[in-house]
Amino acid sequence: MKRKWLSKPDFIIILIVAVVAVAALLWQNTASADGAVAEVTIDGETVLELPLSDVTEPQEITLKNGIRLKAEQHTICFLQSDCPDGLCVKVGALEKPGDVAACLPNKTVVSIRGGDNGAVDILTY
Amino acid sequence: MKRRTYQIALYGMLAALALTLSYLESLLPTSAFLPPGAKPGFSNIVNMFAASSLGFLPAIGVAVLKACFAGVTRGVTAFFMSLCGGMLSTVGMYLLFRFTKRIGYVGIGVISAVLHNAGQLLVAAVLVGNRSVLGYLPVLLLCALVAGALTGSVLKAVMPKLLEATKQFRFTK
Repeated sequence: MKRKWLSKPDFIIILIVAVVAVAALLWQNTASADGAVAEVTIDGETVLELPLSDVTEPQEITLKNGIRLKAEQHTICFLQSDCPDGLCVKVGALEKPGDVAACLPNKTVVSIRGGDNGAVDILTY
Repeated sequence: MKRRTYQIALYGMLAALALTLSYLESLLPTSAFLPPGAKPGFSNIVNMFAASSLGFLPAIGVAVLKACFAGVTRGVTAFFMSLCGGMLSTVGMYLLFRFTKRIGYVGIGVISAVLHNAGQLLVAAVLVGNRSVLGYLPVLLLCALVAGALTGSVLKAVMPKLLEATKQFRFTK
């Protein structure tokens, strides 16, 4: 039997991938931006944690490897990096927990995680 | 031996084709609709052809050469990402072509694109030492859906011509 261009199992494959992707996207989008904290890591090490609600005026941050970030109220983005493709800058503003931008050549990742505001950290008796 | 010479010539041409497609793809303007880093992966058509009609080693060979090309033109990071993504998707598509009959070209294209993206993202997570990079996977999965369906369809369309053109060069099957 000759292999078809499109067969029934293909639809199942497409459906599974689409459902998984859309479900994950929806789940990512439910995260609330309240109290979001921007976390910057270089080579896996956290170098900066910045609660985005604390940023009142737009500010530029220069990391030790020369990458410049720009933080505004509620958002943060890569402003400039010396990497060849500049993908990290193209990602644009990060806002919600789960949002992430990475500059692979410089091993720098900016990600947003949920804040602790209002949430109970530890309960002990 | 003559047969061996033919094979070397064919693999060389395929590798050149894959590199040319990669290069042409890099000239495409980044569209506002495509997320950063997402590419259609036209050179995977060559991988798929090798995996479907030539055998495992030629297919892996194309993937490795592509990675070297990425390494030379775009740096070490690109090398490792291309290598891991390429190997994973090539192994996947080879197994699918070899052991399944009912999955179509679109299905194989989609699965190999998903494997390619997953492999690249895993390398990225390891390289930067931060798991949160994996949060990019859902977007890439959607891209893989479109890109994989596209490459699978193109391969199906050009398959008869490719088989005809490489007739004298192929000895397996």
